Amino acid sequence: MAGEYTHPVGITKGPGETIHEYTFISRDEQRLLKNGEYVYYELEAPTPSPSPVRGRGEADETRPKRVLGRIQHRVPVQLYPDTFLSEPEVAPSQVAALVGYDQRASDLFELHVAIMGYYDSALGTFVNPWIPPSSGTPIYLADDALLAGVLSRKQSGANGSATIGSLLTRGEGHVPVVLDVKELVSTHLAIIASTGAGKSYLASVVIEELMRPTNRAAVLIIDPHGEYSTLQEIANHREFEEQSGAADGHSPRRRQRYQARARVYLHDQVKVRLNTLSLADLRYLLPGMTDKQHHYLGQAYDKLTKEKKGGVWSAEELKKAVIEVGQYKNDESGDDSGNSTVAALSWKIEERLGRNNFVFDESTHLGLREILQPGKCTVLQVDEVDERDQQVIVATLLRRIYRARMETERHKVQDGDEKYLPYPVFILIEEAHHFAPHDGDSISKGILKQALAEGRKFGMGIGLISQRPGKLDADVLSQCLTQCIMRIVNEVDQKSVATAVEGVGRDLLDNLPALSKGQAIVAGSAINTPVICRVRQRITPHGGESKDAPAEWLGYYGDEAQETRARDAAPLQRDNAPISIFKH
Amino acid sequence: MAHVTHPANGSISVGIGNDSDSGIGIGKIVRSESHVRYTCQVFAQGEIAAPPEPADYAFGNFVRVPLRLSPARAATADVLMSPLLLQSDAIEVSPGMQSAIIPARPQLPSPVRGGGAGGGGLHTHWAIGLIYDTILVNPAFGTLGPRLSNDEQVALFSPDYLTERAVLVSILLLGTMALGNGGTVTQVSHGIPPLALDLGAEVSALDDTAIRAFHFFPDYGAPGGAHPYLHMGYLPHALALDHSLLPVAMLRTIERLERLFPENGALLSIVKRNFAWKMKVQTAG
Repeated sequence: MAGEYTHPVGITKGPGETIHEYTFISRDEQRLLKNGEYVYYELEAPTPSPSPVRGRGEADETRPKRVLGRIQHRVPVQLYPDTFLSEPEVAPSQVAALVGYDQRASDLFELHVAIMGYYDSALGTFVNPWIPPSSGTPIYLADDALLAGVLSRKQSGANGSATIGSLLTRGEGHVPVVLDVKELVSTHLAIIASTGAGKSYLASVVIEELMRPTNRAAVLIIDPHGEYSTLQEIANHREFEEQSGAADGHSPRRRQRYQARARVYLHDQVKVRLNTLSLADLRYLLPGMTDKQHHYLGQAYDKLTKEKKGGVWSAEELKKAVIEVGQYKNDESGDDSGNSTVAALSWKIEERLGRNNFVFDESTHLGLREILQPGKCTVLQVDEVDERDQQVIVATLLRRIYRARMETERHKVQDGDEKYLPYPVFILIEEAHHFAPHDGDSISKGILKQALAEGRKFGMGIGLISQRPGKLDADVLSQCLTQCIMRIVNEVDQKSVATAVEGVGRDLLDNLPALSKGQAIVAGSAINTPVICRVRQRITPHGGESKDAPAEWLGYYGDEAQETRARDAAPLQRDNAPISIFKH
Repeated sequence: MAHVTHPANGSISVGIGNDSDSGIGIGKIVRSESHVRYTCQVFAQGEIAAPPEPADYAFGNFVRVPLRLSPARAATADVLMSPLLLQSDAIEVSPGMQSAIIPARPQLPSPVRGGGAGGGGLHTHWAIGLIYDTILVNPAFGTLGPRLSNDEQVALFSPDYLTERAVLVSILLLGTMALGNGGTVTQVSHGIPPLALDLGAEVSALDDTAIRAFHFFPDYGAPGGAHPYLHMGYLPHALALDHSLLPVAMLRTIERLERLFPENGALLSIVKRNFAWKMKVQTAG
């Protein structure tokens, strides 16, 4: 599509159904006015200049303000009568021509436009003129440069920008859709889509953008399906490195060049040493305790930390301390009322922190600054862990990161401290409805809510990915102020998205079932106005492909596979042979 | 927009080029009810050498009537075409008018050179009409008493009385045709002709070849482009007129065209079905 449109595409008919809508009439012979396309009219009387559309943005103050709007739907004004369509071999235009009607002028459309407003570059937002255009006002199609200048907050390639794709109604790459990474990280991101719509693909694109030299983010991905391991490829791509010293020609010394890194940790590699847990951590990790249990745990914790003087301790030692506290209490009260409390608490400690847990260890420990570093993307694969343990892993990690960021920001910890994390971080959580389900409780839900609500202050950004928004806690979803919504067919999920996502217009959400793979509605604080985006190609290979079951079944009967099976089965027969001889 | 083709494509020669020599004379225009509805008095016995038979002026027949147009006017302004159609290329449709200038040099606004078709006396521009009503006029109607004289005596003693008996046919104008040298059709338009007919202008029957030429021509504004195709551009305005017999006349015309253009059967069947449904089923229901 050409970059500039200097001729009006239609003429305003009048106001639309609601106060922020108007309708215009167009022949649209070139079929440019698609649903979701952007058009504008000029707020003041056009200047005598023969060419009203020039340049990008609204930089020129003398130019009349262009009020952008989005086409919501198009209604053909003139349709052929049904009887003209009665003969499949005869086109209705032929019948119309027979009775003297020229087909070229028959297409006439009424287009309904939702007014977005004119872009105020000082405010960085769209300003609604609060008055629909008068009848007869010419309507122009917004050109690519204008849209690129006003739809996104950041220009593609600028520092703090994430170009995740381009506007769907225009040619690929013509109008880049650029997220503002600052907003994305501080006000959180939600990627919602049915399975197979490309949500992990989009998430990977976002991660790629975050890893570019213009962002160099510290990213952690919770990956319950093992889909993100291919991100390790970013170490091999030039897009994720900065040419050393090239930007600073006069510096004789080679600068430290940037190269994004990615590392995959398996669940058993992420260990938390027990003695790094605070009492509050323990209480959080052992939910549902009675007051008495809380008291005993506090006493036991104090006792243990005093004895060990900051040294390591194990779950067994904690249990032992609880028993000792129980004994002491029993002696104090002269009965054995503490025994049941001790037993229940010991059981909880064993269950959560004991030998069979995946997260806590008495000696090994993975430091936060090892997991989270600017320019490093850490993928935590938890695909071999059951859901409950995944929740513990996520809860523990989020809690540690949250506390570290909070205490670092409040200058409570210094370099060298375990909790010292002196940069903002971004955490992407796949299958978020496992970690914050709307019904039932999960150990990770509380900290997730807390991080979403207050992470903004401490530079802790969360990205949630879910294929079942209906199962995701509504508070959690509504805290994500940037939303990427892909195809959703399930009606319950559509409704929950509509209620939780305030920033997206109803008209855009109506498009949800019609979106194809790799197309997303992007809305929220990281972009100026909701747009329908065609997600760009990934730089790294995609790891979330579906299994090709028929191909594998066919492969089972391939010549090679059959020979292999025959070979494997053969020794068994030999083993049987002596037995049968022996029987003789 | 004027629609022009190359001479080779659309050259159709019909037998109406030499004034009233060919084509059976039916009668003359005696009255008009509007710009497009005229009354023709059928030639009576003795009025012309070969008076028409009832089959010549039957209901639904096509007729032609010469238009009075001086050669100079025909050359400078194409009055057969709607002025709207010629002024601006931006207007692609002129309501009620569908036309084509058939064999001509493309740049010429009008190929019709008035009397250039072989002499000033020859008509080259014709209005094409359709007979949609017949009225028998009898001044003796209502005189119920017996007459003393028989027909021969009446013819002998009061010939005036015989001439007062007449057959009148109503004609609806459907469009125009222009002819070039040798009776070649140079221009066809459907719709309301800008020129009115003259009183006393002779009405002649249109033969099948001419009917074909009137309906089958190329039109650059339409999907077919340079390819000739079937036109019934007069249909909408004919139906818009309030006369109970006009729809029936149109249905007859469609049936006639089905016979003349069997290759367009499917196309015509759509119009016919639609038409028959409205006229027969909806009217009866």
